[in-house]
Amino acid sequence: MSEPVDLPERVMVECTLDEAPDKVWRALSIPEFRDSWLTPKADGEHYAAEVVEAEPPRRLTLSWREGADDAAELVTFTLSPTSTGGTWLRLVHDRVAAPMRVPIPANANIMMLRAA
Amino acid sequence: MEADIFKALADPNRRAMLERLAAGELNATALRQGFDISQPALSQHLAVLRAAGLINERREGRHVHYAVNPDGMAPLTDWLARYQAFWPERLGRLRDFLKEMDQ
Repeated sequence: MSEPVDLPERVMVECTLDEAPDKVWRALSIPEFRDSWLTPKADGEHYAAEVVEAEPPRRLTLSWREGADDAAELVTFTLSPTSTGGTWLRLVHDRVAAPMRVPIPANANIMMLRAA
Repeated sequence: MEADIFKALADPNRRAMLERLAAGELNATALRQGFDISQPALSQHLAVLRAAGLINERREGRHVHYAVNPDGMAPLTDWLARYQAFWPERLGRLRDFLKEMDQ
């Protein structure tokens, strides 16, 4: 039979930062700031990132495009204050707007999917 | 190819078909059971799934059997591997940027 696995269409990364949410929020939400750390590509081009939804200083959703013709992906940052005055940051990158689950056959080669 | 896969998966009916096929190979008649769609619509959905490389078809006499193509998800796992490396690197840059900010 089959068991449900997450389709590999979402990347989630979490980290803690020393700076307070208000400061991290500015680094995320101000376009000029984003251009210095988030969007540059190795070849000098930039990823296209635009604010879709902003709930300062807690949640910021960006549309994310690798190239001009690509469909928009969604990158959402969630910020929470830590007990030591820093920020706990969660980043969720969805390849499509609506995540889903589809069962994959148990006998299929899904090692990479499981690793997700 | 990657875009084809996401287009194919964007439709709830096609997702449900893929889900059903994941449990085992089926012919079109068996696959259609429980779906409120016409035979031509089903054929259309199957064609989209096949074009995206998500399912394989196997002909046996007059019947065509459909099954999930296990390698069909490979373009998605490429995307995943890329961004699983990308985001920790960018968050490292953010960490550095925050140290320099407001100075």
